[in-house]
Amino acid sequence: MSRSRLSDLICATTFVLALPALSLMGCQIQNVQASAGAKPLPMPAAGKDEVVVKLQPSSLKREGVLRIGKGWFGMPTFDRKDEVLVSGRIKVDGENFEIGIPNVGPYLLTTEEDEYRNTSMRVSIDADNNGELPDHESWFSSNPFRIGDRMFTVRAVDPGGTWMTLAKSDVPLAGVILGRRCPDFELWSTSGKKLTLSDYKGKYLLLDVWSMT
Amino acid sequence: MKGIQEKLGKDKLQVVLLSVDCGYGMDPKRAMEADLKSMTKQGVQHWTNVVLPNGMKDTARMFNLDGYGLTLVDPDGIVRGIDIYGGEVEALLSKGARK
Repeated sequence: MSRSRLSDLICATTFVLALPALSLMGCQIQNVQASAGAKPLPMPAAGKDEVVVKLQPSSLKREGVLRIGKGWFGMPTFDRKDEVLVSGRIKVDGENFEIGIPNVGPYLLTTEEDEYRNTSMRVSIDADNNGELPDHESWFSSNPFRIGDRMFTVRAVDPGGTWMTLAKSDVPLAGVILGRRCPDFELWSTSGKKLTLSDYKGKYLLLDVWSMT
Repeated sequence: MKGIQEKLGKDKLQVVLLSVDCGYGMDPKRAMEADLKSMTKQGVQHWTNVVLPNGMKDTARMFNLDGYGLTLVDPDGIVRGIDIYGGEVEALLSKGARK
């Protein structure tokens, strides 16, 4: 075995062995890969500005990601199965919210840059407490996300899916929630005009996500 | 949408287009030109268009919107509809007008 291959092997082994120790020390776990039946890690204590949410099997379901495959004669096939979640409760500014993630990993906390869409794990928050989770109540864990009128980030997820640690975030409010105020925004139109939410005060505003591609 | 806006007038309803073309690899200048061509064809070239440099990654980060569709914000800045389409917008607007 060449020296470089041997050192690669030592590095990889050290990294794999160090992971459980790092997680128990409260270090940030990035891109936790887990398969069905991954062994749960002990629930950590919450650090400063952190919330540890205990997750349990849940009756909450959400639509899974649409998967496009190839069928007979190369015809496309479409498959969109419901995702089963584990969920827990979190209290924000006196309001209770149910928060859920898939019951099985991988729990990817970052997105692949070369993909046109975000590929990180989706966190669902039942903002209206009606037991349903439409797409707009799911958030990408690679971005700070909104619970009530506060922003949070996912700091760590147990590979076994029994807890997750959220950290309060200082980023400005983002994300739309039905019945709550739209976050302020600053956009630049193609004609060079700066647009903010306050420009539309007193009028209905329709945001239209589109593409001519 | 064009019909609804014409009916209500721009003093009551404003449309902001969020173009995600750059997310599919189109450069911003080309996206602006192509968008304008498409908007002109539909007779809405006077609408406000924003070309987002990272496409849907930007709409997800700013608004948690990860697909095409409309979001309605009322005159007080409260979100009234997410992921809605033409008929639903009209229904929400008429509901709002009755209040």
